[in-house]
Amino acid sequence: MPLILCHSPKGGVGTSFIAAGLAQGLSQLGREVVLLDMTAQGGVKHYFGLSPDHPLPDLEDDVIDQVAVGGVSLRSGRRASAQEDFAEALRSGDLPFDGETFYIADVASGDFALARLLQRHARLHVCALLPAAMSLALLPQVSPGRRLDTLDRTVFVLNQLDETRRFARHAALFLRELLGDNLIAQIHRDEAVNEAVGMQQTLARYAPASLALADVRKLAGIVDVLTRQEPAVRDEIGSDGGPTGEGDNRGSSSRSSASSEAA
Amino acid sequence: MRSDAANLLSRLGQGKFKYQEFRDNFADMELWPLFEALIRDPRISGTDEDSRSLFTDDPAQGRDTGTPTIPHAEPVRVAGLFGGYGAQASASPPATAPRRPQDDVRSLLKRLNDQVAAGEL
Repeated sequence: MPLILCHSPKGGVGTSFIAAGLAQGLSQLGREVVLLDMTAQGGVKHYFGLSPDHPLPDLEDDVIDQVAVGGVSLRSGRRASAQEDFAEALRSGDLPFDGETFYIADVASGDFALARLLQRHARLHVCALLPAAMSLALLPQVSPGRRLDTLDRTVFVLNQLDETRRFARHAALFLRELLGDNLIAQIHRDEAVNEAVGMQQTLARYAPASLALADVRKLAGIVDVLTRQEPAVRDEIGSDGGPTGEGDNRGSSSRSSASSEAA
Repeated sequence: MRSDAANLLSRLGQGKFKYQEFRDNFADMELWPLFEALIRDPRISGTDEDSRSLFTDDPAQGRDTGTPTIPHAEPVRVAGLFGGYGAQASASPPATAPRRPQDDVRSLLKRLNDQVAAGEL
């Protein structure tokens, strides 16, 4: 069930951008990808060059006029998730989170109940962070009572990293220690992301040399590996990858990839 | 990317910018109290047995109470870089044995500095 939950306790950290980038990156790797916009704002489509008034078909609709950009099928899951039987549909397998298709859910920061529900069925929870004080201050809300570097299915992405800023540099160093292998990638701040939305183009089309694009594609490669690893396998890789803590099943491959981002 | 930047990169035979790295001397690094607070936060250090995750079952808030929740791990022994904080937190609560936060952060920064010097970071 390759459902990937993208959710952060802090809004405005680029969760939708990361969800969109993951979807595009996985599609580029040849995966079948459905991106579910579970937010009331419905903003993720802007990273695909779509207009603000471009509707997305609902998750439960029989799709005739499918919206697909660059191999990524876009759906709105907002209406479906608001229905009373959504949890039961998830439990019973009525919703199509199975097979080889990646379902990536972009969930608004304040929608903790939906995030909690989807997390139970997700292979991976990707939590975006900013190298900013307010983003770090909300870290204890992610998984209280457990060290963040020992979480099994939650990984972190440091977004909009600008190493010319002092606090950002310090925060990046601090997070590398605090999160360990669960900090799987860093995405550099890149104005091209904003400009691409303004141009109503995908980032890959508008700025193929974008550093943020390269970063997010590496992230997609790491997530692709992580979601296809069974926990036991991941444990083995973790033990090969050095002194990882108990319950830490992020592998050495992800660590090395993330480290390359840190340069 | 702006056309003038693209042209420059093209002439240089490069595909993208290489960002300059900015490094800090950890010994001179700002002692951000937020970092200290996060390290000491029992919800992060794994010493808070009563805290609840956003993703654990909470009948008062959750939509779904019929599926198993992700079990809380037993509080793990804090090891590694932050080990000193965890060990102190469990062995000597702040109320009975006040600590010196700045010393703790300095210790952290020194260890970071040592790791960088050793090529581990």
